[in-house]
Amino acid sequence: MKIPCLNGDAEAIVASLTQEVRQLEAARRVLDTQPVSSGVAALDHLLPEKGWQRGSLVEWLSSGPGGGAGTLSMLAAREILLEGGAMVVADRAGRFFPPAAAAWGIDLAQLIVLRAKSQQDELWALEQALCCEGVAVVWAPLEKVSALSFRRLQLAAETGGGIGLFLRSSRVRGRPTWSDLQLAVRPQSSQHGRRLNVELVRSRNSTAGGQIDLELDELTGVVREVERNDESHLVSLATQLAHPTSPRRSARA
Amino acid sequence: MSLWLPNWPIQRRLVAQPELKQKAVVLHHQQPRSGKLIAACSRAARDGGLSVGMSLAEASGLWKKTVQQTPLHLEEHDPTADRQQLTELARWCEPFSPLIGLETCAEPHSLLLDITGLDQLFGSDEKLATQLQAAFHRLGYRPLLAVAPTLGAAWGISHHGGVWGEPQLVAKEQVWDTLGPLPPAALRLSYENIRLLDELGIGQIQQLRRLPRTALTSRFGADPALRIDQAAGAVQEVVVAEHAPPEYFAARNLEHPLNNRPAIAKLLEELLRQVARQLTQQDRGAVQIECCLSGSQGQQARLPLGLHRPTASTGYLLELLTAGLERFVGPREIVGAVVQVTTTAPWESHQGELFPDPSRSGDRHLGPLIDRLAGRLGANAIVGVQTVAEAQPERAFRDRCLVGEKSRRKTRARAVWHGPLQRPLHLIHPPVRLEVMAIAPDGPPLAFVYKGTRHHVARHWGPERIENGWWRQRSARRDYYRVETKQGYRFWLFRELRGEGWFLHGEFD
Repeated sequence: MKIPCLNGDAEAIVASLTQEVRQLEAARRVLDTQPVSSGVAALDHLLPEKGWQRGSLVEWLSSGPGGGAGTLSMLAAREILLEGGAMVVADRAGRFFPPAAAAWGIDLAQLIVLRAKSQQDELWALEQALCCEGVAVVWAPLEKVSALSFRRLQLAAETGGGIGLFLRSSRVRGRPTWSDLQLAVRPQSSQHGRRLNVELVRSRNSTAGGQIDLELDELTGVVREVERNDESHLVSLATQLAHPTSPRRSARA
Repeated sequence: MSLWLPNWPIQRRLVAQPELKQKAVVLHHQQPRSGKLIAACSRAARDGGLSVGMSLAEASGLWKKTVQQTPLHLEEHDPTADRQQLTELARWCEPFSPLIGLETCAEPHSLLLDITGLDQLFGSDEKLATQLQAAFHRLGYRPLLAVAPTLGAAWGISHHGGVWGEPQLVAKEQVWDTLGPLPPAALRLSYENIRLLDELGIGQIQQLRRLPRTALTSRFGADPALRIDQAAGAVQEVVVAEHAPPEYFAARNLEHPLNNRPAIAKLLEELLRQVARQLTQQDRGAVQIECCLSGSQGQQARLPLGLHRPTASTGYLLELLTAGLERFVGPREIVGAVVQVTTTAPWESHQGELFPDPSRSGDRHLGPLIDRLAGRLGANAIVGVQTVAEAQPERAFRDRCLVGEKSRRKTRARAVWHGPLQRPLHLIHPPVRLEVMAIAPDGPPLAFVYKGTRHHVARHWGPERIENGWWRQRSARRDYYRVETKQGYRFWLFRELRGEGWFLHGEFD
């Protein structure tokens, strides 16, 4: 390891050491590839690599059905697919709706749907897909997965150079993981488009933390960053005014 | 000899699905301007007043109005499958003639057989025709046969002078006596010429033949003169034979049974090598392979294998077959094995590139991945998808097979007519019945209970009415609402307008 000059700028030393640590941690990953932009400047800013790093795994933690994590991960897939390659979608439950993906701009000709009968088969197939250089994105809802299987997926992604986007329940938050990034998505009430809060829960190579609010336009689906909680006060007030009875009265009734 | 299968698209379906004989079968096709039109219909449908060319909506209305007892069965017209089945029949007829082909037109309904010199083999042409007719009857088909000195004459007589159950035999000197009274359509003329001749009052071939040759050509083009010459034998006509494709297979029977995997793999490798050699000689690659293992107790087990791209590589095929065998439940002891290639396609070879394009190298890796996944998980477990122009969400897409096809058809991307936030990423099938609270009977939902949680609707979009085609057996009429709960979760709900209540159909995950 090269030791930087001690009389240099402290920030340069820290940056250099950080880079060394990253190289050690992701020794097998190709670091000279440019990260793929998420298409949203605010989200790029939140991500440690300023985009999606090839050969990595990203967990999208959803707080519940209809929570919007799948939508944001599909947007990430769309941006990654712009540079070519195929997308493998694991759909063991048979619930994936391709016309919705097409509406988000995913070319269905690039899509391969995997309908394995068991989780064991699915994990094997996901590993094979991540190993394949022709696959740019693997998109899969992931239930309980052992550390060994997760590690295999991570090594496969490093080998193939594809990006694994895994939809998971927020219950796995805080548990050990082999993913490079963990993003929690929470829906927010809004008066305009669809508002989603994105929090960087975990990053393998840098400090986690930080969150942003994104709003998806109802008609076009265009994503933009919005100020956090800029409408919460108004919404709350309107709700209180509209409430017909006070909590005490309703409790008596 | 000409063998005509009248109303072939209907005949094919009635033989394949005998239960349809109890129904009025209608085949329809989509026309760019006229919409869905009837392409073919069964006798029961014709008796009910339906006819070819009628619009499907009109036909359905007519059928309902006349309150027909016979149920109407609607199906999409499939000329490719019709031709394919006719080709199969041509190959099946090879014991009767070495040269059998299909009539040359867009949608053939007839087989043409060259039976020159075969009378000595079968006793006579009549015996040959009778045997062939009986063979078709045994399969369930009802053909009309005619034997004549030329293909043109045989075609005309079978189509316009045929008699059910009696093959028509016409000698050389009787050709024009038989063809003369038949309509000009018996000469295989174009539709425009037939219509023109009808307008001119020429209803028989003998009238047409009386016209001066030069006038005939100048007025109707070269078609009638050529067809007359073909029927007379003045112009030669050849049968484009539909030979069965060569078979690629290798088999081995063993004296002593094998019961260990490495030995079985070695045996399969040997058989695959033989098959690969046969394929390479013909410049073909395997697209579908079937491996059949025979057990010592007489039991047989088959392992089918589909491939994304044709290949003749022994090592590659063995790798896929071995992966499939890992999960294969077959006989414990093997006494025989057969490897057969069921579908082939021209073998694709690629020249190496000095400066390979990285964007195209991914495609080369994708084929082996698909083969590997399909080999272990089955062809149904790995599919492509394409959208379909159907309003009903369950029918708005269909799977596309990725392995075992001769050629990869480029799918045309259909335009998506809804916004990205209008359709959920997860569709719940079948829809889940919900308890929904709404103020007005036809109004939007205010609250609903899903998975034990009560969701209060903060915003909603809709209703969006979605109905499926009336020709579906179970029609659907739904009012869809996109709803956002007070916590920001989004769902896709619909009210079934037939009074069956509210359902959850999707989650905007």
